[in-house]
Amino acid sequence: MNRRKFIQQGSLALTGFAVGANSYARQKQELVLGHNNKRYKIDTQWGSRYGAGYAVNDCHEMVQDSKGRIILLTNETKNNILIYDKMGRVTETWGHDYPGAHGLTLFNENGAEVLFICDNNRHEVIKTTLKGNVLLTISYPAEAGIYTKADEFIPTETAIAPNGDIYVADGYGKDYIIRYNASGKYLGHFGGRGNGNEYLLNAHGVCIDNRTQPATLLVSSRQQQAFKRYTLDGRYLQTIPVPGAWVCRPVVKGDYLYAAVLQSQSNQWKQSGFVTILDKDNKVVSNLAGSIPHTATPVPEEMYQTIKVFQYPHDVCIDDEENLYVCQWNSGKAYPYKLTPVVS
Amino acid sequence: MIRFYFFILFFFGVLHATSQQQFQLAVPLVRYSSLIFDHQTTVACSFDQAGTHIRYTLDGSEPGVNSNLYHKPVVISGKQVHFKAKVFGTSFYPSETIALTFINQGLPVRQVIGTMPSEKFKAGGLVSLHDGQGGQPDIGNGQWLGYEGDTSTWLLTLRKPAQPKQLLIHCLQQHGSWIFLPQKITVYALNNQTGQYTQAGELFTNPPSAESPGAAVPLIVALKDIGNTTQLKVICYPLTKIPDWHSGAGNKAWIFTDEIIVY
Repeated sequence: MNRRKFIQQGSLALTGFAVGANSYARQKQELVLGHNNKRYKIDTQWGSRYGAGYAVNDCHEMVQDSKGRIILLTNETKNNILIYDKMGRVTETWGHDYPGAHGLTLFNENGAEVLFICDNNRHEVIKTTLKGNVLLTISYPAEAGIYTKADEFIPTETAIAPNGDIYVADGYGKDYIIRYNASGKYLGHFGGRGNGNEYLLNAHGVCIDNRTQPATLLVSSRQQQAFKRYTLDGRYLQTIPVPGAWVCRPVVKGDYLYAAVLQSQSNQWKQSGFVTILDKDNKVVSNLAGSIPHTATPVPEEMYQTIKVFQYPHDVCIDDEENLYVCQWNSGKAYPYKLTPVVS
Repeated sequence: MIRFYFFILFFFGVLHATSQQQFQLAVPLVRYSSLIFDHQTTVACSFDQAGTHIRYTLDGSEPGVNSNLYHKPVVISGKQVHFKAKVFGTSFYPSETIALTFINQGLPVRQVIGTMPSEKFKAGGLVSLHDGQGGQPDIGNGQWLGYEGDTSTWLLTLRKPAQPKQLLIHCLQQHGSWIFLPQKITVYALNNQTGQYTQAGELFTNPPSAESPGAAVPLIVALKDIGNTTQLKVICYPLTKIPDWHSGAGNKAWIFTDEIIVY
């Protein structure tokens, strides 16, 4: 064929491509999750795209270190710790001694970053360097007089105060928050189960909330579908209800409180999880894959999953660019997902 | 030839653009006071997600794009109503169906006496069998009476003499918890004239299978006419033992019931 005919046919064919792509793209817009000014696009392949060669089991928790690396804790003893870059490439792995790996907290101890791992099977909290060298092991506080044996203590989470004090949430044991000093010496405890506001049911997560002056402690009382706030001395201050949401652990970043919601109260044990975000006035402002938050009433209306994006999300990590990473429990060994903010 | 290239590249264009992942919607939130009702009740649905709507049916059929569109709480009346609802939305796969069976309370019952349930699952005692509450397949809701392996006999006294046509025992099937439907239910009615009990109806259930889903099951015994009665004797026979294919094979099968209804 001659040149003119080639150009003619080629451009017509390319028009076909453009028309096809454009018409379908307009019909199927990319899903945006969340509400108000906390909305995100999701990449469900983030953890599997480059990382599928690394075995995982339950992906319990994630933190970001000062180098920007995303550190994942899984109870897969082939590699309990997977360290990713923000693209999802695995740069380092370690850990074979944590069969019950559940909680992961990062702390900057005088310039050196350390990790605190809670292990449900070992009934211990283990402090390590970022390379996995063990620095301290904490077991049940016999002197507290609240445990008769080690395996009643099933720690799920830690929070470290600026002075190095370690708060351990016994979320699968007796629901106490146990306080130790930086060397692991028992200082006291509070919480536990009971009928008053200061008690907890499934004290699954704990974090330091630096948004308050002075700093306070937030605990997720997961089965009560609420966060509870205490002073760093363990005095109860307030309950932040999140009806319908089985919140796993509170994560504070900037002005916001984030939590992976394991499941919806209204649809239990049916992979009904989502992610919730509250502002500094403790109002739910966004539910990712969940119902529209209603902020008019003092106590929010019951929240629930609306889109089956997540099964049982267990933790959310927010990085230095406000991206979110969500990892899941009992979700077919799913790798973490990444969510990027949508600026409207 | 031009058209050929056009269509090939159109096809690849479409293929490229349709690589967006599509998700399924979750089931709607449903609210109701009880699955057992007197005269009528309502069921309210919500689903706070932009671009979606709920469709429902009342005849047990699967909700489809042409079924009733939900916009306010649905009135439930009649003897037994099978409510099903599903969420639809553009750019999402439809949700799974949520299914509820609402059961009318039937003739007023004055009392139920007879075999007491296990200490572990006694609800409020035998009065729970005629309190108009329950219906949900949630063992922990405090409504279910559990019987471990024993044949149970209950005497049910009606508030007024009647000629009942059916007896419904609302049972739970949850094989994972060793809870099986009764093997047989026999109903006797007390003839007010003669003072004698006569067999009025009997129901045999199908042998359980591994595929039977966990669910609340209304078992209905049709009753033949034996004249006016104020009292029914209900004998509920469990499986002789848990079947061989089950992990608890050879052990006693539990029966769980939360209501007995007479129509």
